[in-house]
Amino acid sequence: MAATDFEWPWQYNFPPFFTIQPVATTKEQQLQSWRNLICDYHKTKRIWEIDTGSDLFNNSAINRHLSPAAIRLILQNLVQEGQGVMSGERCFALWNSVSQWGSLIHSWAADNGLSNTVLTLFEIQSGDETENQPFHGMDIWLLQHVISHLEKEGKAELMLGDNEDFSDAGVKFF
Amino acid sequence: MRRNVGIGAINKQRIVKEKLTQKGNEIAELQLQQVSQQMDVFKHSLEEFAIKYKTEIRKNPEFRARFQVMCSKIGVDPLASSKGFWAQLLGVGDFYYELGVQIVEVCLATRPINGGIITMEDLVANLEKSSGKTRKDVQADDIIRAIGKLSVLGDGFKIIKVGKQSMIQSIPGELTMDHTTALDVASSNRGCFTITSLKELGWPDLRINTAVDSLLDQGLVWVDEVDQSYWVPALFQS
Repeated sequence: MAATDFEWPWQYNFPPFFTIQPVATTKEQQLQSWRNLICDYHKTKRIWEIDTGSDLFNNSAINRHLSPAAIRLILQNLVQEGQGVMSGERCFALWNSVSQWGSLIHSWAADNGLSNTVLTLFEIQSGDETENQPFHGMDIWLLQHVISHLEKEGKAELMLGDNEDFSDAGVKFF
Repeated sequence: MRRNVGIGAINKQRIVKEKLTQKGNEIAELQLQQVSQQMDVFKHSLEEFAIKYKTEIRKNPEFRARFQVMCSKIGVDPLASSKGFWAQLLGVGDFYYELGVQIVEVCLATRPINGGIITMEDLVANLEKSSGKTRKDVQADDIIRAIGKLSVLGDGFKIIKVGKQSMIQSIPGELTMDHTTALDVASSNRGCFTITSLKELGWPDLRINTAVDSLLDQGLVWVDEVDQSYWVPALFQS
């Protein structure tokens, strides 16, 4: 699945879109539009981690960008509405909820006869077997986060190793 | 004895005059009857025409517009009542009723973005997009008539002129002159006005701030901090 060219919505070229609006109802609208834009952008490009320096927050064509304070506000709102998750300074876009991602991965494992076998997170993320799956290429921290959520639901067991980058982490699906 | 003089002559004149007046009235009466008959014949022809071209009238906006003009010339309003002959015959009343409902839907759906005003262009585009059946047969003329019908429900929906454009306003209450003036200024500048451009109209600061704050509060306008400009989403074209 190749990443496709992203079509910007009209708001992206609307200069005030990059100013947090003072009027509450307008701001609500604006934040909702930002949440949609962030999720659509990342889903189309198949990028999970939000890069605050990208052209998403910086439209050079109209010479407007979001201030750091505005970015913080928007990302906080994104997380609050369940469409983003933070890990320290890093923020990930959730065009599917953590729970939905969990379902997708769990189903894939079941459909491929992989229940009750141990798989590495790396295999799930980058293996040939997942190449056509929507979660292929998912950031490894997020993958671990999704699976630990599955674990809480009793549908998997997460096995963390010593490495901080999860390169030795595994999972068993039930 | 001189002729035409004397009581006899006066009486005769009076009688002649009375007869002439009577005749005049008779003639006028006859003319009126004839005209009335002609009107009936014309109405009947129009009804036959409407039956024959029912489909055209529904489907073809230009045809429909010209038919409307013909009707109004003889005092027939096809939209007048949904129980009337015309509405039943043509289902024309329904057409505008349905259209009115769709217009209301589009306005409500777009209100969060544009604050309750929408250009005729955008409305038509949205109508074409949203309806299950193709709405490619709708023109500005139809929208104006449908909105005319909607206005019997109250003054929530009306058409306003901003610059050269017709816009449909769907928020209750009036936009003040100052509001529409500011929108006017914006409409000839890509949907944007600045405090400076309002100052150039000779407005004192208080008047400017009142208008701007009110437009912001109603969600009709957004502010761009970078150059303190105000943008109207409804008028914006990227």
